Amino acid sequence: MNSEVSQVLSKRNLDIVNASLKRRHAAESRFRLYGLLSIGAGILMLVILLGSIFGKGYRAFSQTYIGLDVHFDPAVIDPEGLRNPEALAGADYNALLKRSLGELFPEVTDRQEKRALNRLVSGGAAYSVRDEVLAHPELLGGTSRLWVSAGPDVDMLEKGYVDRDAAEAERIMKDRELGWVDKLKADGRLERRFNVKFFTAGDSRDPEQAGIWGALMGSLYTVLVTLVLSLPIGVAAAIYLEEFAPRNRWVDFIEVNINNLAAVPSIVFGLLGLAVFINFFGVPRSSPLVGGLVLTLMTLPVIIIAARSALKSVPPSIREAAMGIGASPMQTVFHHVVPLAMPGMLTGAIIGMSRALGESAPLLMIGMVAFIVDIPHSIFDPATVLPVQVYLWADSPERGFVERTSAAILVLLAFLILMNGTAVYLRRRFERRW
Amino acid sequence: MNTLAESSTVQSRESVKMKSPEKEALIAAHQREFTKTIGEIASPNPRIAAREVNVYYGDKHAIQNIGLDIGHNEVIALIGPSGCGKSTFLRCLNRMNDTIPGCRVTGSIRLDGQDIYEGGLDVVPLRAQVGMVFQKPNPFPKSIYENVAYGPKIHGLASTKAELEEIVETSLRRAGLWDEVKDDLAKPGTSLSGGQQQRLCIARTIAVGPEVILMDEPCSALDPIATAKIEQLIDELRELYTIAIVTHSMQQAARVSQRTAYFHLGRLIEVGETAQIFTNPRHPLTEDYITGRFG
Amino acid sequence: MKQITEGHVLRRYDGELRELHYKVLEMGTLVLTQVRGALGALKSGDTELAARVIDDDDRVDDLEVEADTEVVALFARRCPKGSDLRLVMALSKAITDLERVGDEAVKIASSVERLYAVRGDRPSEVSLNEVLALADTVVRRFESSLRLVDSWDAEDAQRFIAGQREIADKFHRVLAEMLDNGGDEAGGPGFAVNLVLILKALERVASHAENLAEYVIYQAMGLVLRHHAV
Repeated sequence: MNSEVSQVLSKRNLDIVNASLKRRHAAESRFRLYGLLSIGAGILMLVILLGSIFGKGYRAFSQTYIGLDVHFDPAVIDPEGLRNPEALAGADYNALLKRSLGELFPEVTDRQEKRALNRLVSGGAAYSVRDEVLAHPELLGGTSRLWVSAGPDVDMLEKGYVDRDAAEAERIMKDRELGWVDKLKADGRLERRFNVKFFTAGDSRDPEQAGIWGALMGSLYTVLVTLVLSLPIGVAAAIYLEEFAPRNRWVDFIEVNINNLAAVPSIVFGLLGLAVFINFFGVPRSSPLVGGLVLTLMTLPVIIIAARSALKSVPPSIREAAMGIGASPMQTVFHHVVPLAMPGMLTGAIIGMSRALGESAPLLMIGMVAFIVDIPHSIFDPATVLPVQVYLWADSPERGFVERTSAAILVLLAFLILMNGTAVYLRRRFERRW
Repeated sequence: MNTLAESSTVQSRESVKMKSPEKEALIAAHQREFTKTIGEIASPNPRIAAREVNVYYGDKHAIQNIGLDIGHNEVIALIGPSGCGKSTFLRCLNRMNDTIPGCRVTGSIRLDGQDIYEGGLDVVPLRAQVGMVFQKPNPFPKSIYENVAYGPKIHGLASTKAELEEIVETSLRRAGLWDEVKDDLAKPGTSLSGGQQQRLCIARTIAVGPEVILMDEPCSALDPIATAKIEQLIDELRELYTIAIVTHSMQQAARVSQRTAYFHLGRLIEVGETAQIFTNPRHPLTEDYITGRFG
Repeated sequence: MKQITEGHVLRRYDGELRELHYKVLEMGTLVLTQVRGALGALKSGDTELAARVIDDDDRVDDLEVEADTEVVALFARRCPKGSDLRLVMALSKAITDLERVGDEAVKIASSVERLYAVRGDRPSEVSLNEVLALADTVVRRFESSLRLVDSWDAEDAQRFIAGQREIADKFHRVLAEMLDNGGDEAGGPGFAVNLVLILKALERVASHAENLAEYVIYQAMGLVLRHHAV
């Protein structure tokens, strides 16, 4: 082809290219716009979700307290005068609180009104008085100002959930009660403080007494059991399947089944756990042990699949290098391949753990949905976990549980972020370039 | 001549189908005649002696009836177009093909008279005896010291730390790398330049004390100066080791080897002194390949 | 038959080899013309023709330089191997031989100038015819050796070399006769000396022609035949 012809041809080609250029640029910027829009929509959803949860939940971190001048009358709590701790523990502290309230509002004499007055203080307040007495027996016989949790209605009023302008009949608090609260406030006997109980207590029927510590510990034990079981088993299975197993029909069959297991609805694992672990092996019901076992079953496929793909991504040249100087297959795998695949394996394990931490459905099947007040101290104690606690509270009718549900979700999210942060840190440490 | 090569692959495909032993013997005899190599395959003082080696990948007959000796302190270059079986043959020599599923090797390959494909022979000591250097420099993602020390460690070649250090130093010296890295032994092997990495890989191979070093296109990823350094190194190593090198560069084969073997479609077409192969090849296929007429 | 230079994947390489080949053939043709011119001058006594032959040698030298440059470039750029290597080697050697043949033509032409330096004076017809007859054979052989360099036919080249003994005998006979009669037959010792010089030059040409044939065999078979009697 001579140069003249080629020049003409390239000129014409250039025209064609230029003509289509505008369209191509437009398509590109359109695509970028779509991308930005979808990311923006995602971020917006996240902000709305987090905003609503936080908006509802942050109030649960504070609690209204009422300051009462309690007279520790030995006649009431220690009639025998022996200061016997058992007797002290079993005494009627409610009476002390009632008497203090009665002294504050001497005008209340009606039986019904008295009951309403007593409801200003939480039903669990007597326990905190008892704990105070048990901790400081020298208080006996004296009088001191104690701050006890206010009742749910007072708490709601303080947090602004009660509309004072509504008609009296439609309010949970009547004018009379509002008057008492206002008087307490005027006396400086009403305060909002940080809700320590929320982080230290177990579950309770009373929202102001309910905490997430029990569920948190339950989650911790359950995830620990899951991690200890699923990580070694999953990684070992992945290494065997990827590096040592012969390629035949059986291995293919196992592979297909592992992939299918990853897609099985989690509640099915719960049924399996109920049938096998509890009914057949007799593992204690509702315990983190059985929960961990069930979640292990659920997490294993995820870990195996992630670990296998991590092993696959190790360049074959490393294997060849090790084999080439006479390393055995075992040495090749454990000296060279596994260390390089570690970051990927850990990522997979953490994803599996996060899923396990957020899972509730299979745990419902094995009794971890029970109302458990005590804080579990081992993997054999009955326990519940954070997502199930959220589910339970969301189901409760009391107004106070609404904000606690959101607060529990916030704690769960913080837990997840902590775990993922650990994962990222570990991955960075293990990551090596080659 | 091309039709000859084609018909031989047809032949091998048919031979897979036919099962009767008489027919198979007939075909084998025919194939022996058919796949005769031009030139002297035997060596007066062989380190490795391969005879009637056939390699199958599943149904594919990758190597047909190859016989070749590799002498002591000799550099032999294996050349040929892509897919001709030269790398496959090289990998037969330290049984690296074992790791490939569906790969079957027949015939005999003797290392110092010992058949390496004999049942019950462990490949671990074999691979220590017959080391391998690969196309892409592949140091472990560890320190330079660890790279070289790894082989002696797993084989238990050093009983004390001082001994190990000595092995590392000697290996790096022999690989011509010591002066460049002696102050940075703790640095990762992957931080070196491509040519240095390849010499590190050679040092790693030397460290386990092999008799034979197989090199699979060791310079294909390197620049000319790094290549020249590796070639100089090969020339020096010849005093101590037997070297077989697969290369796509005919210039390189001509420069480093004493003998050259030309492979074509799984057959060993011609073997001879390197100077003879490059000035006066006897087979037209060799001629076409080295003059750049192939294809 | 397929051209010897063809078939490379890199087609420019074909062209470069062909160009060198043609240059050598061109040089050969030019040298052949020179030899013929010098002998024509001998036959006709045309000293002007002889002078032209001497002048033309510059062109041969130029061609030699050009061809040598191409050979070096081929080695540098293509690193010829196998038959290509032997071809380039053969051509490179052929260039030297052809240049020498050109020199021999110049020698003949100089002798012719001396032979016919005195107007009207000529060597005897008998001697002249004898030399011319031999020259005819040499030119034909040189011509066919050039044809060998064109065709690269090794069998022809072998036959060609086999005929060398015959021509050597002829030389000896003619030279012996001329020496026997002490130059009387030639028409005087001056004529005789120049005729012997021409004979010597012709013998060199025949020998260079044989070299060309040997290169053809080397190219085809990789055998080095030089200095071995066939």
